[in-house]
Amino acid sequence: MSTSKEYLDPEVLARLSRLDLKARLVVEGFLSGLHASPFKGFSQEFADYRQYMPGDELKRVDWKVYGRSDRFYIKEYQEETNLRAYILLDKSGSMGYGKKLSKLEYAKYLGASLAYMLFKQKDNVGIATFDTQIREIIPPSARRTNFMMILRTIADATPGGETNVNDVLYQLAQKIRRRGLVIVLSDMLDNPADVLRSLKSFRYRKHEILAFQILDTDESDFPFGESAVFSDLENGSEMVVNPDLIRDRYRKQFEEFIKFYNQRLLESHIDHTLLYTNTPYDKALFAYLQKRTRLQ
Amino acid sequence: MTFLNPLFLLGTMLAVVPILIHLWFRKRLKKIPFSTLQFLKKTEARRFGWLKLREYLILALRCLFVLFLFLSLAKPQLKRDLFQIGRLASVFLIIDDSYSMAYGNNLENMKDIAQQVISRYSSNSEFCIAPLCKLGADLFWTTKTSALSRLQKARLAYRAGNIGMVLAVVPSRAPKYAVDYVYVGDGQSSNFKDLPAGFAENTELFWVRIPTGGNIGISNVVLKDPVAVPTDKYTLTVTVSSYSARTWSGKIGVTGGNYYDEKECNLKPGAGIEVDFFLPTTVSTGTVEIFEDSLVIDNVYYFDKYLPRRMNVLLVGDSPYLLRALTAGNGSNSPFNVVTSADIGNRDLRGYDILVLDGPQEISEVDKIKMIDHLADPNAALVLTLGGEVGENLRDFLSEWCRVGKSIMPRGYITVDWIDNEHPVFRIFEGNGALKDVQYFRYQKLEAENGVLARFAGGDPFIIVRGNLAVVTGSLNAQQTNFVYKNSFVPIMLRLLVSLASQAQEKEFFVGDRVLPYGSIRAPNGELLNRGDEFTVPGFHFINGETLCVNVESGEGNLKTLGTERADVLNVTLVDPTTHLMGSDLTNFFLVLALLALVSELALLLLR
Repeated sequence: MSTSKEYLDPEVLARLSRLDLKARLVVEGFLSGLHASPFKGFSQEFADYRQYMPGDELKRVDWKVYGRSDRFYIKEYQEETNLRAYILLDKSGSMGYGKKLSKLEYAKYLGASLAYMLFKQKDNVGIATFDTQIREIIPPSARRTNFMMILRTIADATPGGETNVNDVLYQLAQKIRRRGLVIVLSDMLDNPADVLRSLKSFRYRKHEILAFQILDTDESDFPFGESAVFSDLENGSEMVVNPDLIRDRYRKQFEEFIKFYNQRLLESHIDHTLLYTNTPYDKALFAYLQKRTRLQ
Repeated sequence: MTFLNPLFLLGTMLAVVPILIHLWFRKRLKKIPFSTLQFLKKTEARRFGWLKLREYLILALRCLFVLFLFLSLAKPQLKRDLFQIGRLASVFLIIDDSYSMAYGNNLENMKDIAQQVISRYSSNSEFCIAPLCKLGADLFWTTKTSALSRLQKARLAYRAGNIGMVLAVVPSRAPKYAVDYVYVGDGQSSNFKDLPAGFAENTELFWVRIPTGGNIGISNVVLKDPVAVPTDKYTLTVTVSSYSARTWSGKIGVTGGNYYDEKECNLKPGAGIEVDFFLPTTVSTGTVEIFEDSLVIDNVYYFDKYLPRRMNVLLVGDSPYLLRALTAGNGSNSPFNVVTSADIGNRDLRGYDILVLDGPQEISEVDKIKMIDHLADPNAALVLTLGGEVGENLRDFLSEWCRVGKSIMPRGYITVDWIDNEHPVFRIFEGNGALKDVQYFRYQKLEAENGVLARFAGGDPFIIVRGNLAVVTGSLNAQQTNFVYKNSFVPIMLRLLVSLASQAQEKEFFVGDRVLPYGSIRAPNGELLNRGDEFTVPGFHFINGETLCVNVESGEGNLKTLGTERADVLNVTLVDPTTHLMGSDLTNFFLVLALLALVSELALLLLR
């Protein structure tokens, strides 16, 4: 019998069909593992009572306690913020890569999970999908209907087109005026310097950025054997390659690429989390919660 | 461009096979969709462009290899103005089989090129194959196949040829089409002699040129002094001529019996040189050979020389001076056995090589008949000296050769002021030195237009030679001349006698000469030659124990080829087989291209 924690495993989760269910299972699985953690719960979760102090809003007075004890007490909850979160989902062609689970599927489940978590916290959450340009955008809101639209948008996202992370993020930075948390779900397989510049544009507008770079282990390890024709999922170009001959040089190139993001995003105060499609989702959610805590 | 094997052109379609194979292999390669090629391209940045180019180059070279190979097999021919392929004509093809074609592999080259010429014409054309040197051969129009067969049968003739004489022979019937005159050969200028009148004005002669090399040939082998008084040695003069455009250095050797000698010599282009060899008189037959020459046909000269032998002389008359002259050398060393007599009488003249009648005024009828009979023998001779009045029979005898005038007694004396220095008798003397200051007080006037070796001041003949008869119009008596006291008297008389008795039949011939009427001759190749046949091969020929020498007449080489100016005059169009025939056959060209494509492909495959 499976437990809810199992759904943190991307492969297990992929067997389910309903996205909302996936999101709920992920979040619940994640939360069930947080007993020993410093995170105490969501914003709707009761934390403590304290005596009413002048200046407190009257609507926050617990009138039931007053009726029983004739004293004014204020009911306090944890995680009480008005966060505006934007999930930016990259659905370009390269995100379609993956043997058992594509990067896009991984990103979709993660995006849905994060949306669910935010929704449960009564935070405003919105989404934008993009490839060469912005395809769909749903403004942030804490309403259930909005959440359902977000889930539908995520579910409908299919890979296609070339990546143009740089321009699209820049455009989004122009559109999203109110400060908030920007969660980027992308493989960022574009010119790293351009991607960095566009992420920085969010920072200029005082957004907090949580960049999840989603990759496949094939991309980092290049485990292919015989000579083969490699075709680019984005532009269709082809190249005959003998992987054995170039593997070492390829890996070196790739490491430099990752290292660039690690270093330069850190310098720019942008949280960067590298996720492979076999990485359990709790790592991403944990990263989110850490960020969330810092934002408090 | 036309193709001799057009069916092979279908094979050029196979040039797409490498592309198909390439695509098939490409399809067979596993296709892996990948998120991005940017790292692969960066990894292969330097090599990617080159590898792609290499791949397409190899593909292109494979296609070109197949294309060129089949184009080559189709035997492409580039069209030229000359010998346009498929032309319908009557082709009068003169093939050069002269001995200069023995240079290198020229004869076979000539056949190959002539074959190419024939193949260019339409199959319906007719051909007449005319060997340049096979004069008198029947000429007839025949089919292409038969012409090719006849061409292959052509053999080398050991002689020079003449296009004019070939053209003088008319084929058995009139040609069906317009006639193309084509000569395939090295174009020795002598070949173009005697073209028929008007031929050059009306007809273009195509000369398909076969390049030839230089040649050194033995142009003459003679006795240096054919009338020399015999001793134990004689001098053989060999004339070597250069028909080469380059300076030649080499050896000339003479072999005869146990004798052998050789000499080094150098020859400038076109020059000639005479080389003397001293042979013992016991050797009259042998060979002269040139070494280190590329055209060897005329490098051996076979000789058989007539050497003056000891002769029996009947001296009729009373001149002591003449007797002393003929018996000079103290008897045994003298070349003559002299018998003196007051008259011919009843002597059998067949026992004497030379009959000398000194100062007779008349002869008997019987003597006259004997003298005429004696002269009929080419190895015999008669010397007649005149002094006084000539009698009826003697006048009658002389009238066969000249008109007999009066006996002349000039006032004082008359001198001899002209001699024929070219005649062998006088050749060893300088200028008029032989008869200088010779004076005569009386002589017999004879009138002769030919054969006069010396004349008196007035122009009357002093010595006349006709065949084996010599007439001296003055007496050899000291009362009538001072000639008998001159130093030249003895040598002149001896040389005159030797020259008269050396009229032996010629024993040296050239290839192409007709056999003289004396029976079957066995040629060195075993062939029997009869009267009227031509000598066809050089070498010693034999007849009844006698030896005849047959040689190749020297005179061909690259110095003697037809010049462009003369070619213009003769309306001869030069056809260079390397450009107009062989060069226009692109078979080898495409074959080389195919090989180049193959080699380049292999090189590219090795180049990673």
